[in-house]
Amino acid sequence: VSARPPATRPSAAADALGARLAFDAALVALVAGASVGAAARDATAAAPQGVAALLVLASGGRRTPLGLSVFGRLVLTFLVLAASAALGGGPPQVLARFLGGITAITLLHPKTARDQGLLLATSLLQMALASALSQSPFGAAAGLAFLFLAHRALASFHLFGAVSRVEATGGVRADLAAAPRLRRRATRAAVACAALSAPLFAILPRTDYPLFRVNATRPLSSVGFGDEVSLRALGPRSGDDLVVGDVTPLDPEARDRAPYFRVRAFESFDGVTWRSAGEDLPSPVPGEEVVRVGPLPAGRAVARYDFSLVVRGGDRLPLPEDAYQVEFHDGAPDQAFVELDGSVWGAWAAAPGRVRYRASAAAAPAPKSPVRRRSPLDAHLDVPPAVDVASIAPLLEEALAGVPADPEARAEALASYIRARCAYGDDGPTGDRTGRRGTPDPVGEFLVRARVGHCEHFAAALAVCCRLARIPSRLVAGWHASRWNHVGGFWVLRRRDAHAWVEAWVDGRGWVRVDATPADVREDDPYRGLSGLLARVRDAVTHAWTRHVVGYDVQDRRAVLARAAAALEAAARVAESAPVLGGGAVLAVLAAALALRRLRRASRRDGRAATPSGFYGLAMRRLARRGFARAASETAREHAARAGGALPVPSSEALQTLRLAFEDVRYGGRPAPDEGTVRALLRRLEGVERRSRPPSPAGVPE
Amino acid sequence: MAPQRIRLLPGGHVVIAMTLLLGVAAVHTGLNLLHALVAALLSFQTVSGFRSFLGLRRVTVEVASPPCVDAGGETSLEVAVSNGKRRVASSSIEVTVEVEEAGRVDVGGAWVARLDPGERVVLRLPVRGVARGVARVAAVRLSTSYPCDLLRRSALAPVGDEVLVRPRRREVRATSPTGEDDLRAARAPLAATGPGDLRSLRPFRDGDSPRAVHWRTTARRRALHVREDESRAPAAWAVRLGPSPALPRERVDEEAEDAAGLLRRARADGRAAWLCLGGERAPRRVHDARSLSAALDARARFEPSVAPAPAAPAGARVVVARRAPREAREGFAVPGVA
Repeated sequence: VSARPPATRPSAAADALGARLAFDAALVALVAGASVGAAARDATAAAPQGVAALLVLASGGRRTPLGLSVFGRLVLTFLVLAASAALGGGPPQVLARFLGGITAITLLHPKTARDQGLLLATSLLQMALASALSQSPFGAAAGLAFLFLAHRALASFHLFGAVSRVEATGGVRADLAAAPRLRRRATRAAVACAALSAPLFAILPRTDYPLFRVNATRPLSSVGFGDEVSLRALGPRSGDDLVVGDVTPLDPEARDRAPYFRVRAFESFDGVTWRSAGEDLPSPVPGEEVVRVGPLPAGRAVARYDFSLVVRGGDRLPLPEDAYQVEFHDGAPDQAFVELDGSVWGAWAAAPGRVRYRASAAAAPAPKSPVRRRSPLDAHLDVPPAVDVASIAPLLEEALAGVPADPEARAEALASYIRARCAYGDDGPTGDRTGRRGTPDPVGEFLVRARVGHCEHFAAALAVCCRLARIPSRLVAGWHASRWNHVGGFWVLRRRDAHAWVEAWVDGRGWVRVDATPADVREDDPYRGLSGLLARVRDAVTHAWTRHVVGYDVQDRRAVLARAAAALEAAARVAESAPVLGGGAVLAVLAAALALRRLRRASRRDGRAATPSGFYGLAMRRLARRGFARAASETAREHAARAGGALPVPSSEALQTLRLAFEDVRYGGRPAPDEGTVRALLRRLEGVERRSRPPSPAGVPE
Repeated sequence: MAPQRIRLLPGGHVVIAMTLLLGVAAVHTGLNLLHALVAALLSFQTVSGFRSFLGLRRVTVEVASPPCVDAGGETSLEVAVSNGKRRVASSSIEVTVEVEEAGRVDVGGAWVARLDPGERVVLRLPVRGVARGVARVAAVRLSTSYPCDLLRRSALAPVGDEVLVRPRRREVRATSPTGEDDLRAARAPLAATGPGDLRSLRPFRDGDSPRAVHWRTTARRRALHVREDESRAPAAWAVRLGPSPALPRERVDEEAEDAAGLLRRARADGRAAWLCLGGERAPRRVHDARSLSAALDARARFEPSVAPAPAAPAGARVVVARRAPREAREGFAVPGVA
């Protein structure tokens, strides 16, 4: 370790650290620019900053192409602001461009510590803007990268500042070679920071009524179910893989049930189109977070599901079969209509984007309690005149030959017959994807002639056959979630998962689901091969991100805090038992004694001076507080003579002893007295001096 | 070590302001990613504070101050920094020395990049004398703002030492109050007129007669030495220093420096000298290195007094300093401490 003369310009080591700082800051700016550009979907927000950062990176942080004065920077900043506004777009895009321009100017400007601080601050603002604009899980990866790179850049910032400060005073630097290691070790702080962020995120306060709510959710898909189902070609919807939402089963009962999620049932059929029976809607349920849609399943197992999907403003919500309650977590509708078939129609004044709700259903129907009819079933037996009954009747006889009279068995037999007779095809029997040249009898066409159709044809044909066999039936539209994600434990709902099936009335059991669509088509798993695995992982990440981060809300926070409180209460209950209480008290006493001991040791250590003769400094400090300051021209002996003369004998003796010890240590090379002796002397000195008045020595400046 | 103290740095102010701003925005927009960013900023501050706390915990210092330094000269102050922790290293510790009577000395700082568990490093901090007087080394401050420069955590170690800043070394010429140049006589070849009673031996200087060389001592010490005879020994000097308290501080310092220069010159010439300090009852005799050192220390502590300087001893010639030209004075600075 050696001293250096005061530096007039930074040394080579400081220059290298400065270049390292510029390099790290450019990396941070690159990540922040890419994040905000992707979030704002605006390349102009990221391009200038990216180019500037790449220039700095290419030169290793040593060269700065711009050398502007303060006035030049102000003019350039104004031009950037004007260009940002001139390029158009919304306020987020303008702000993103402006921040990008400022960052680019700072990157290309000669480096000072203040410039680097400004650069890191603007990068942080860019990440904040990206967080506000994007809900993608890829933002998490960018955020983590930013966290690590920012820690390294700040460590470089610190090292550069520390070395510059010590060089400015002409001081000494010890172990400068360890500087790169310190920079790398800053990533440990980033890891700790990331680990601590998770619980902090969970307990940060949320409010039920935000002042300026911003919903940044991008609609993933806008498929919905209308008021009718027409038997036409499926159209482009058939191959649409866009994600609409996801369903997470919360119980084993929910997991074991078939993934049919009803949206609406249709009773009236005119030969081409299925509609509802035209019953009046019941009274809406205003603004409730919990909506009751059916009778409580007394004494039966319950299956619960968490739904997360995108709605447009007025949509019917998919629910499990035999649902009895819907509990909204996020985005409760302004009005909810519960229809007679058990479906729920929500109305939102403003499109809420993503809606999260928990649906509870009876896991199994009541085995012994009679199921009462909730509406007249005549409408569920009507067969429209457009249907060519004469051509279907022989098929019906063939299908039901030898089948017992049980309605459920007959409905299943009909479904099996149709499934065996017809093939699945998205275009339907007409062969017209637009559906304009539809046949007047698509059911007859499907069953008798074409024998090709999609799920709606299968369901409509089965419902007609059931009705011809005097089994009340209706067509149900909804989702059959065939995409079970093993990684995340949820079903993904995509547009192509929209499905139609039949519910047949069975006395004593109620409405029973019968699905005629071939199972291999219905349950075709799209997760195949390596791409399927990647897609599964991607879906799982998106699902987890959406559910646990983006969708974390007030209720989730309450639940987390309630669980923590419950855990504490449980621990308190255990602690209340006598043995635990006694043991805990003993442990507490031991811990307190240990802490006291450590505190006293630390106190002794803290009171210890930094030099062997430091005890004399402590004595002088205490005397100075009482008015016996030692003047600059006084030797220790002179001061002791002056102050000792004004002090009572015990304290004067203590002062003389301290002075002698000081001279021995300082000038005689002898060891310092032990701590106990020093403490005793200081106590004597301090205890007595309080009762004396300080004199004013003649000729000695105070 | 005194308890640690925390001071926010500009970066810390910026981060706290942004945390508050983003926190309000997060609560009132319902955007969870803003909440995540706020959580990251809060944990960032927490981790920074904890890391800096760990950095200074159980770090102790021992200080060895130099007894004195010449004004314009430089010496070093030893600070031994030890990490008493058993597992955790301390990173980026800055060492600064707090000096009372600032302006007397200029003490450089130090920076320790890394201190492994149990490691002890000794730093020699440069101490530059600035002005004559007493500089009290009040404390050594250890501080760190590692890793993120958000806050600076520091701890003070009290130090009770003082460093005497002796008068600046200056080349002076001695004259009697009547203007007679005494130095030329002092430099006369001692043995030119033959040997007399031996008074002392001293190293050879330019101008000494080769006949005065004491060969036996020269052979023993392997450097030329000459003898001084009693009959040719230079007359003793009485250096008086008693400026009025009404004089400005700079003038007092200049007079003290001149007087110190005369004492040094007298010692170099092998001449006995007396120091007559204003306010003291009797003159101090300067006849060897130790008494010269004590006299220089007295110079360092000297404060003008209304009391007159004591009378010069009988036989001693009272001398005053005649300042050398400014350019010569400015070039005359000898590093090192007697």
